[in-house]
Amino acid sequence: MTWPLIVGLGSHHGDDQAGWLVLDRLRERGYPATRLARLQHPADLLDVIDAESSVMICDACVGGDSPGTIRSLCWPTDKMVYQRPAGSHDLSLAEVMELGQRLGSLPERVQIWTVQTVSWSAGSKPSLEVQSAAARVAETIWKDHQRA
Amino acid sequence: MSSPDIIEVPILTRVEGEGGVTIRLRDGVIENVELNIYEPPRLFEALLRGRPLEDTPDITARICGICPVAYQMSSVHALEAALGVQISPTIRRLRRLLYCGEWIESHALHIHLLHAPDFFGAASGIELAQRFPNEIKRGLQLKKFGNRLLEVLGGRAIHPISVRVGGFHRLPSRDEMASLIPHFEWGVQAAVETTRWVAAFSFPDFEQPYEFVSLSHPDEYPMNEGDIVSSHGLHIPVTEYDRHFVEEHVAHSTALHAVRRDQRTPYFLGPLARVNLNRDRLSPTAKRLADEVNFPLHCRNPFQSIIARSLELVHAYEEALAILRDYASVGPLSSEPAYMPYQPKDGSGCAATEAPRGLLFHEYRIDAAGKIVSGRIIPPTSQNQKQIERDVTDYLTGRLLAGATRDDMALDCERLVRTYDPCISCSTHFLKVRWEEPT
Repeated sequence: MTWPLIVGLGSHHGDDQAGWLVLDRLRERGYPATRLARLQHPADLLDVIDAESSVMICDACVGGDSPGTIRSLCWPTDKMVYQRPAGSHDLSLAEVMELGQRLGSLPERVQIWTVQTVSWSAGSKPSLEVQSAAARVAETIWKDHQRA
Repeated sequence: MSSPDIIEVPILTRVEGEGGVTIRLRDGVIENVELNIYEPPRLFEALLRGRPLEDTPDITARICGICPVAYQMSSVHALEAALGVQISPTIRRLRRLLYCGEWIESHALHIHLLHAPDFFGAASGIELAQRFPNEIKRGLQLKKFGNRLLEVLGGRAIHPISVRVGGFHRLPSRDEMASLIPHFEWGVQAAVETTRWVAAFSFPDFEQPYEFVSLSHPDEYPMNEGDIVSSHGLHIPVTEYDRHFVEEHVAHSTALHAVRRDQRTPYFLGPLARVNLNRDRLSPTAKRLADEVNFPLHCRNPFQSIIARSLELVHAYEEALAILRDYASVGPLSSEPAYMPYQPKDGSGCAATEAPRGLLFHEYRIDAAGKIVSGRIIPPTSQNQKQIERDVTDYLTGRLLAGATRDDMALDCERLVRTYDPCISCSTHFLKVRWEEPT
């Protein structure tokens, strides 16, 4: 069985842990730990992906949706609207994906799961809405994989 | 007399900070150039007043997400000067190591993704990656290991949390440091390859009689300490900074402009200044490489800053590697303190260190209870602004005479500003270029 690489992007701050929570739940379900990548910076994505392996990315997002809303995007067909980073030395996920494509490091398609966040306080726990949403994303990924 | 015309180039990317350039032409010649910085003042110095001095390194680090270590280093050295704290050799060495990490991550990204595209007509590092995938991958790896070093030593890559007045909150373990050694062995050679790559770029023919200014230390390449020296013969202790440099308000910028106090002339900070003034103290590999690529002894072409920055990348990797190896083999004594204790006392102190973009000056006054009475921070980009304006004027005057189009000159302006790797407000977003010319 081929296990797609699941990347969780996040930090220790509140709901920004959404992507990491998805990984935690998948690990509990029995997903191979070697196919789960817990990253902090989008640029780190280039260290773990390759053009031959399928990959899914789970990330927290800020948008107009209600807290805990889940969206699934398919890169590059779905446009990702990212707020410009605070500095030119930051690389957003969208920029990293484009860079990876130019470098020949990305598979043709990448599925991206986003969870709408509520709180980003430094060092705080994730909100209940985001914890619940992250669990649902993990279950969806797990069941889709079992069916495949 | 004709009235001025305005030409606007709306966005310059790949610099740090939000600002703009207005170029005013009258009767076919450039009359005035203004680097407009319109970000609101951030008032960090006021924020510090009344707070415990221990808060200073972490608060000032927030001025910049790219060079937080520089703000931490200048602040702790200035406060230690006020308190009379003498740090241990181990702490001093680890501070240099932390600075190496910052130089590496900042320089590697600027070289590969922000500056190199200019030499190939590419709009971005992403576009350049298609043409030079191996070089861009190498640049990203070089940056990554700088970040790793900051994470190991500083607790995290952006806004490290291990620095405190007197030293560090904790010293890293020998194993943590040893784990980085293979990456830094690779990094030295990779940085050499980067330098050879950029040294072969084609550079515009533009030289100016700059006054280069940097720290200088008799025994080492300047980072954390040294006297202030200049290519015009200045050599002063940092405590005499105010006697020779002054900041001025200008109407078109929310950032102060620094000039030489007596002459009211601009000066030039950053990697090019440091290499020109301290070339003999570069690491052995970097020094040999400077000769190998025929880097001019007193380079006065700002576009060649990318070579100086690359030489410093080699230096930072090589010095970091030496410190890592030393620390991993002998490490600190188990009884060695992570920081030197001190008692708060009334006093003042100043310090300057070398941020990736140049000399960063801090000065603080503290009261007997250890609270900040006043603080003053003079970042490198503030000091370079006047020189940038002068450069744009002179360079575009030549380009006008050569018959360059406005569009070409707008690009030239952006490219020239980028050579300084400016950190406008120590943040960045876009630089708008505005032309004014008779209609």
